[in-house]
Amino acid sequence: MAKNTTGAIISALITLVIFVGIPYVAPSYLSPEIMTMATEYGFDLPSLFNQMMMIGAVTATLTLVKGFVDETSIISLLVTIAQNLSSLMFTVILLGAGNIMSMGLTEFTIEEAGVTSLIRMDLRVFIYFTFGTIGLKVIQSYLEWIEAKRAGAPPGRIAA
Amino acid sequence: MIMKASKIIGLLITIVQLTGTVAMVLGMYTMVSVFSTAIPQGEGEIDIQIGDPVVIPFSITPSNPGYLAAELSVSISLVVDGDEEIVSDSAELVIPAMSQVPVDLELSLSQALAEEYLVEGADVAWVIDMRVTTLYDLISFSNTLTMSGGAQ
Repeated sequence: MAKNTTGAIISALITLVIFVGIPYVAPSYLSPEIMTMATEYGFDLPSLFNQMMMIGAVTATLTLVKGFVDETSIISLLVTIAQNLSSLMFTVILLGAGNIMSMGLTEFTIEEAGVTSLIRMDLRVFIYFTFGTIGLKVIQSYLEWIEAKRAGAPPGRIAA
Repeated sequence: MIMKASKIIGLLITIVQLTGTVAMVLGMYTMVSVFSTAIPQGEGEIDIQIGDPVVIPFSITPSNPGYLAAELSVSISLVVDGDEEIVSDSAELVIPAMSQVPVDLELSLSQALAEEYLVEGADVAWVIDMRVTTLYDLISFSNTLTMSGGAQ
């Protein structure tokens, strides 16, 4: 239990640094020109960083909670499923260049010196791949939870 | 039994993730490579044939250094009033893996139209549309370039 807890705290801290700390300080390291250019190209970088930080904070919290709950409890299963869903959200945000609603179908316009460039990128198939993987992970989490419950049940009793 | 099922699903997850990653790397590499080589490089390479009709040729040689075949569709048109095409030409071709295919497009318009629209300040626009699809038509990248002015 103590080992699980320590591992969860370390994992949560690493998640916080990578997905909250880095996106938080990143804008101050990017030059104003890059931020302006990204805005002109239709990329809402501050929004992308905010979404990453939100997902990072949620994932870190879930990791921490998971380390403190009994792995046979229903909370443990729900937390694992929530972790899978947050990683799905993260992939959708990344492939949609910050626009979660685009679902991998990104479109942006660049205008410069009388030339308009409308760029469309269709990466939806990778979103479907991620949905498939997350679906399988949820099933696996459920099976592992059932397994843990059975292993934790007293001899002669079948876990409910 | 449950443990076995869980392990099989774990293996399936690994296979799906590996397949997705390999497909993404190969697909993106092919798509970006074909697209970047399909964009005409340099200036002053268009040799307009003055006469009646006036012929404007465009040649590109997109190459595909990737491991997947790619389909390229390219069109060029001279547009007036936003969407009315005066003249256009297009091509669709499959570029096999590790090869290059030359594409020749040609815009042909009468001398009268050329004198009306191919002049400085004319209210026309050149529209170049390029679309690359690969990974068995599952991913695509397209760019529609609109350049205002008749004497580009």
